[in-house]
Amino acid sequence: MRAALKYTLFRSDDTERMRQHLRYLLVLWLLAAGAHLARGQASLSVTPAYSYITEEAPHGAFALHNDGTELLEVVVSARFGVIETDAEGASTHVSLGAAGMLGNLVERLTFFPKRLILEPGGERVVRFLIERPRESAEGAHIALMHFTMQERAAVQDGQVPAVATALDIVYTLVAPVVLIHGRGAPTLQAHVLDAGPTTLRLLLTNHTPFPFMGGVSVLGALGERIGRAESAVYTRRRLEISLSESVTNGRITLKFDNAYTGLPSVVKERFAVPASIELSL
Amino acid sequence: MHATTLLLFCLVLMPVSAYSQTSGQLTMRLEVLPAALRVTVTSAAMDFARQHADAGRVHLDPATGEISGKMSGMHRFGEVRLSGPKNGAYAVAVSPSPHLQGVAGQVGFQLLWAHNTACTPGGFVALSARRSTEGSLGEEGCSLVRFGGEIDLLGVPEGRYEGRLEVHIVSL
Repeated sequence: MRAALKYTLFRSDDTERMRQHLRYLLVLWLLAAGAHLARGQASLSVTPAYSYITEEAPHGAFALHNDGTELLEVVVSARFGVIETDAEGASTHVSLGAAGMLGNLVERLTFFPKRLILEPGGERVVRFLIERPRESAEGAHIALMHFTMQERAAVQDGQVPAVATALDIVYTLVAPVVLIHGRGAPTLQAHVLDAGPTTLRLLLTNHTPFPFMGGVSVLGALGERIGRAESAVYTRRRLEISLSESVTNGRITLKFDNAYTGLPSVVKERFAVPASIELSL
Repeated sequence: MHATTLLLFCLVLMPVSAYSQTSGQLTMRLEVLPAALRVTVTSAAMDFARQHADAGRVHLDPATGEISGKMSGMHRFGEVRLSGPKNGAYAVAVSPSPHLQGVAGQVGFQLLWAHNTACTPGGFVALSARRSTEGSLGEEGCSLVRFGGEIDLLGVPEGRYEGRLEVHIVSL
């Protein structure tokens, strides 16, 4: 009886206050909806972009950094594959399931953690280890680390459909881990895709289990260097070299070196520089 | 005042006297790590807004930023910003175009994409219909990749349709 009386009193005296509360709630809901629409961005960088190791020190690490303004969840996985250009020289991409003459490193790879949360501005390290590296065949063995940014987005709840369609997009940053066991020399073949007045486009093919990591210099008829570019050739790779002078006619020589940005010197020592290649245009 | 002068005198003199008494060699080895590619997700969703069930073909054009046939609601492109070293090369590959699945059936989807190598507003160039592309970060060390697509709503029942697209990005 007393409670009912109180309720009646509340209803009769505080109707205006209730309305006021409802208005506040509405404003808060609108602010929350606005904040949802104007949400921050997640930003992931993985350092280094690739990791080359030897059987003497078969371990390493990737540092993951979130430069964005939003919390980021990253799922880490490893898959066997390679970065290569297709046989026509049309596009370079990640190929999964095969890697030419390179071995599969995924079976021997252990890494931690497999899932992590990065605060805005935060950094975490993913460490990896290759088990029994000396038991692997001589040559290079590869795994492609996949760092997948988890973010869920679906059809907006506010949309009552006639037809409403939406896609989640999952972004993955890929970084190779390559174990070099033993010493060797890559053997390269070169095919000219296109020779313009300022650019030479080549398709380089590697027929060994040792990748080529280094520079390719173009020498003119008199031996003068007219262009250079760096490349990593695991199986097949298209390479575009800017030229200081036209080479549309005559002969050129491709001269190789092992200066590749970021390649540790202990790894460089494992590769012999491939022999030069002469080409007629 | 005297103490400060003495302290300064000691700081200047001590390294010199240390050098005169001992000599040594320091070998420094510096390994430069391969430059990292930074991926910033501007939008992790693509949304064709609300369409009439008989809208026919609907284009969400990533090069122009426009959508055809919209009835109401907000449309949205998928977009990612890549940044890193000047002229750094990268490759982007997408999974095969998925079907958008709904309770009442599915909607066919064809991916369209465009890139902007200077990260300037409106500078998007359509890419061919391939599933992978290469690009350079240019002088600014920045590139935007935007995802849109085409759906065909002819004969599609009302409802919500959703799908998932996987994008792989690698530094070359």
